[in-house]
Amino acid sequence: MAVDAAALDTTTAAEPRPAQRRRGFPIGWVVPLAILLLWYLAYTFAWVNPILFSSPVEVVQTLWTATLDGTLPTHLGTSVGRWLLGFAIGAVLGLALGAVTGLSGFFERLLDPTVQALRTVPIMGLVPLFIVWFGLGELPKVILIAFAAFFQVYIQMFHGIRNIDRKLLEVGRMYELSTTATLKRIVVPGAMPSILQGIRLGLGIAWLALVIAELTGSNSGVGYWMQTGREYVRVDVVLAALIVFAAVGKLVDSLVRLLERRLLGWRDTIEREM
Amino acid sequence: MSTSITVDGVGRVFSGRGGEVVALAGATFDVGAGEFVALVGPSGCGKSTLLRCIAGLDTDYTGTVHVGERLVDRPSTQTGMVFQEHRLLPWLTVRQNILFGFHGSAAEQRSRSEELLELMHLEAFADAHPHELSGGMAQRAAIARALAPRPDVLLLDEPFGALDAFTRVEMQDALREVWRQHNTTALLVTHDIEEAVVLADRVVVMAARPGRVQHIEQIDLPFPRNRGSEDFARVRASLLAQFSLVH
Repeated sequence: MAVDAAALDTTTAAEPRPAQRRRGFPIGWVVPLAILLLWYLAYTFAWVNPILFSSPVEVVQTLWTATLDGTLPTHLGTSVGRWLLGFAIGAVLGLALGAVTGLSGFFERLLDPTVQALRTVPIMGLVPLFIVWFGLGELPKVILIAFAAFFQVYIQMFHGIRNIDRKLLEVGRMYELSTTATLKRIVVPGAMPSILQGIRLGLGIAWLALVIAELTGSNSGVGYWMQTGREYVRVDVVLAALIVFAAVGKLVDSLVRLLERRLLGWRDTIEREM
Repeated sequence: MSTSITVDGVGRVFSGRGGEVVALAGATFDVGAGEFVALVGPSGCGKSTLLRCIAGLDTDYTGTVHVGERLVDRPSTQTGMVFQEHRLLPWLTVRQNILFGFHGSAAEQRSRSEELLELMHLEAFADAHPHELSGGMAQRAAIARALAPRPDVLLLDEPFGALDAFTRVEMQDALREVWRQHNTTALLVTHDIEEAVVLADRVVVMAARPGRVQHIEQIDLPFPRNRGSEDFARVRASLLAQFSLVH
């Protein structure tokens, strides 16, 4: 396959690239629009079973009515609330524990093997256990989401700290920085790219965990709405819910990327050039 | 304010898988207050190790190192250090990097950074990040950072080793000038004899296996030194002769 030389060009000078690619046609939309068109054609010309498939128009109508009658906003609000609560708990624990094991070899030897072992447990497998233990309320869902987010954040925090250049820490020693000052002025900013990466990955996996939690034993949320669509063979509802999941996931991902670009403008990475 | 450096019988042994390696054995020399001394020697003679001992970054040595009256057992803000790599913090601007170890009011910070930016010809890059700088500019910023708190002693560990020949000549002249203006004691580790002759009042030649001081040469050429003069060539040749004894 031919590689676009310009896309891999790392020799560009310090000057930030002009916004030419922003002004150009947003080609990222080509594939989704093509899929939409294909979907529309497939439905219109009955290439697919219309009972098992809805037209894009129908799905948009479903989204519209569900928005107007308050069904979708209520479910979405519930879902986002669970997601953020679960993520916040998981992320705080992940940052804290990742900092402890990242900064101390003793705590790494003590705790990291357990964390790594737990990490391999598939979250799907935890659902029945959590339902047995915590019932069908909010608690099992939030715990599941927190559990999923925790590992991503933990691992990135740990590696962020461990990958800090020892040579920069020596600079801190030359200026007699206290431990607190070293953390604040060298360790945290040095680990920041990795921490943000962990937050982005953690939000993503928490979103997946949310869907799993809501599909299995729930009476509210977008996942539950999707579940009702399945039960009444309302394919339009299932598809509408999927679109909501994808759109919110993408939106949040973009927001975190924006935050990354704001906070990490100093980085000289290929990502910035592309 | 400048201070003397006294290195007395410094030894350093590294223990590794292959047994013990004696990096330094009884290195002894001193640097007078306000003097510029170059420490030269073949690779493996322990000159960088010795500098790290003087900086207080390596404290597992035998013998004694004094900076002024202070016995060196840890790093001190009174000692400025320039490493072979610039070691600027990539998330800080050039100005913020220069002020990394400087304490003072906002106005003092402003004036000190302006002063150093001008001295190092970095005014146009005050708000740039390190990745936007050339190697020479980054190393100038690193020297400015080391000088910002007005240290008594400036230690330089092969600071121009990674630069091209033209930039190196430029940087050597710049270093001599800022050293003069700051009236500090300077100790420069280098493997480049010409660099030592251009910059130093005295050159300490080290020998390897084990690392020790072989010879100390006073260089009486006037400043600024002309790299093309006959006297320069003579001094360089005599130092090279010391070097060949070392090998």
